[in-house]
This record gives sequence, C-alpha cells and structure tokens, in this order.
Amino acid sequence: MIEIRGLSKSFQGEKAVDSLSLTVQKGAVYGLLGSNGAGKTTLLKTLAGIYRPEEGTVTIGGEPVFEAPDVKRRIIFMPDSPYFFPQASVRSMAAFYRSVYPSWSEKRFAELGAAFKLDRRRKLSRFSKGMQRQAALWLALSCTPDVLIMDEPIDGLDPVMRRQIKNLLFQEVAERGLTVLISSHNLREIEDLCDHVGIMHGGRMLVEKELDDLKADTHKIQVAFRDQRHSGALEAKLQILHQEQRGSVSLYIVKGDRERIAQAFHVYEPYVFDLLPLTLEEIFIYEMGDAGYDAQPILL
Amino acid sequence: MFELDVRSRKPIYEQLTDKVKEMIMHGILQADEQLPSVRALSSQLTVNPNTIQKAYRELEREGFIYSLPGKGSFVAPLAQERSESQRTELREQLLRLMAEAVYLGFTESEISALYRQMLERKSGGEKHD
Repeated sequence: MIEIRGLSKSFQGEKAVDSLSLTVQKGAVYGLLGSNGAGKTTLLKTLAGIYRPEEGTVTIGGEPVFEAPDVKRRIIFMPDSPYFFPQASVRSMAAFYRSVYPSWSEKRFAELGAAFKLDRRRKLSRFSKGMQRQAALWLALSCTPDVLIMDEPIDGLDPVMRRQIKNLLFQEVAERGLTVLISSHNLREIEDLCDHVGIMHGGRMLVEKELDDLKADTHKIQVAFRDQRHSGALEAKLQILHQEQRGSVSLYIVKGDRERIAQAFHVYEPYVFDLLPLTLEEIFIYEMGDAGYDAQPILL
Repeated sequence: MFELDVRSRKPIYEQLTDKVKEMIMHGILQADEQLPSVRALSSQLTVNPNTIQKAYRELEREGFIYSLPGKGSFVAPLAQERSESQRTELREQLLRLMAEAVYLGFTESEISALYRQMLERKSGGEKHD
C-alpha cells in the first residue's frame, strides 16, 4: 500500500531523512519508532504529501502522493498536535471534512458519536488536549480513509479511551483493511498496537520487521557458567549484540533461533540458564546502542 | 474465553497459539467446534487482527485447526501423527526433568507414585464429568 524508495529530504543543508526505504502492506498497522530528531515527522509529512520529496519516490497504492488530490483524498494525516479552525466545533469541522473528503460517511460519524462522548456544539478550543485528540480521531475515522497516518496519537488519552481507540482501529483494519502508520515514543503502546515496526535513527532506517519476528529473533540470556572459559567458546559461536557481567552471572543479548541458542548453552551445563524474549523497549535500546546512540552513565 | 498477559515478554501470537493448543488438549475445545472469528476475538481482547490471523494460520499449519472459506476456523480432530510428535517432544522434556530428579535423589518408587497420582486424578476427573 505504502512504498517509499530512497527518500531524502533536507532542511537548510541538514539531512532529516537520508535515502530511506519503507514498505507497508495493506491492512497492516505499522509502528515507526526512533530517537528524538530521527526524522519521523519529516517522513510522515512527506508521506502525507505536505513536503516534496527531494530524492526518491513516495507512493500510496502505486501513485505518487505530492500534489495528487486523488491520492490524498484517501489519506488522513493526524499531526502530533490536532489542528482545528479558530472558533470551530465538532459540527463545523465535520462540515468542512465532508466538503473535502468524498468518502465522508455520515452514518459512520453518527455511529462513532456513541463511542466519543463529546459535545458536538462546544468550541473545540475549550476541549482538553485528550478530548481534542478524540475529536480529531472521530473526524478522521468518519472520512473512512484507506490510509491513516498518525504522529504521536496516544498522547494525552486516558486508559479507557486508549482501549476504545485501539478497538476502533482494529475494527477498521479487520473489516475494511485500513492501513495504519503510527509514530510514537511510547513503546508499550506500539507493542500492543502494531504488527510491523521500523526503527529510525539519524534519518535512516535501522531495522524494519514484523514485530513478532523481531521479538522471536533476539533473546536475553542470563547464565552462570561452571567454568569462565566456557563463555569464550560460546561467544565465537553466537551472534552476540550485548554482554554484561553481573557478579558470577553473565547477561547476553543474542540474535538467532531460540532452540539453537539454548542448545549451544546446554552443552556446557551452566548452573543457571534463563532465556527470555526481549521487550520492544529493550530491542529499541540495544539497536540504538549498536548505532552509537545510548544513555551515558553520567551522574549530575 | 482467552486471557492474555500483555505485560508478558512472550509474543501475543505465541500466547494465543499456546492457549488454543492447551484448550484443545484439555478438551475444553472439542473437535469440529468453531473458534471465534478474527474480528470478534480482536475486539474482545483488543488485539491486532493481523496478530490473531497469524496465530490461526500457525495453528492451521500445525494441524490443530482447519478453516472453511467463508465459515471460519474449527478445531481439527486429533491426528495420529500429531500426537506422535507430541509424544516425542514430551519424552525429551521428561528426560530432562528426570535427569534433575535423579540428581536431587528421587527414588524410582517416588517417581512412580507421582505417575499413579496423576493417573488417579485423571480417572477421578472423568467421573465428575
């Protein structure tokens, strides 16, 4: 559904996105993660047709997005802070979206009204941050888009609403094959929401994979060897991303097949052996560490 | 019908496949019983429908369920070869546990007592049905 090939975009000579490629299948929920200033928002804005790609191509459903109203009609972009016209209410914003999006569904708008308990006549500027987000999503889903692009969508929503919104998105995905692209720092949310993730750093894509594969591929291992010489022998055999010594227990982050790794360790019959899947947060931190971006142990 | 632990490190699709397998093995899900649709389960559990689809695909590949186009997914009758592969797997697990038991000084009669205990529990459980 979404295809980005070799995209570059710079601002005043500084590269925000650097020859980046990305693919999102129809009906997928794709989570875009990245360090601060990695270029996520630039990427999303280029995808929404707001920025013109400097190099490379950005296509949705096989067609370029920039200055193509026919393509943009099927896309909704939700920026990190929702924008409404001054003095607007949900009702007047709905009238605007109706005039712009031919796929606007009055029926859907009414149905969703039951899920979001918001006053349609009240001024949006008087809504709280979370309520504004809800209103933005209400309007977005009422347009029945094919592609929904959201920049930091979960910010400021309470747990009940988060669940509600997840459910609404999943319904759209299951029933209509909506494609969703989400950027977020909240890795827990992404973990529950997405099936594919991409991790960005410095304008480039570090990893792009199915979330379950990513988790099934990297493991955290705690092990206490009978003999320290065993560790050296193992290190030659496995692809080790990270290693730490905590007393007599060693911590390894290893890439590869679970069974094979477990076997490799069992040969040495260690005193303690624990193999755990990684959380997305740990994957993020170790991948970033690999790219030279990690928390420095500074005490202030 | 399923409880998932979203805080667990285990991938959700793996939790799902394990749960369904467990329910089939314990007879909570009977042969030819229909499983909830992807859509229904997704909204019930607030889990990505693609993840559920993947779990169902995996279960089908392993022969635990079969799907009828346009009708949904159903529990497959227990296949001979499947129970055979389960036996092999279980044998290995048992051997590993036995090794530990021997190391900790379990006697043969203690282990056979455990076996009898489970056997009685199983026949007792069936009487209550």
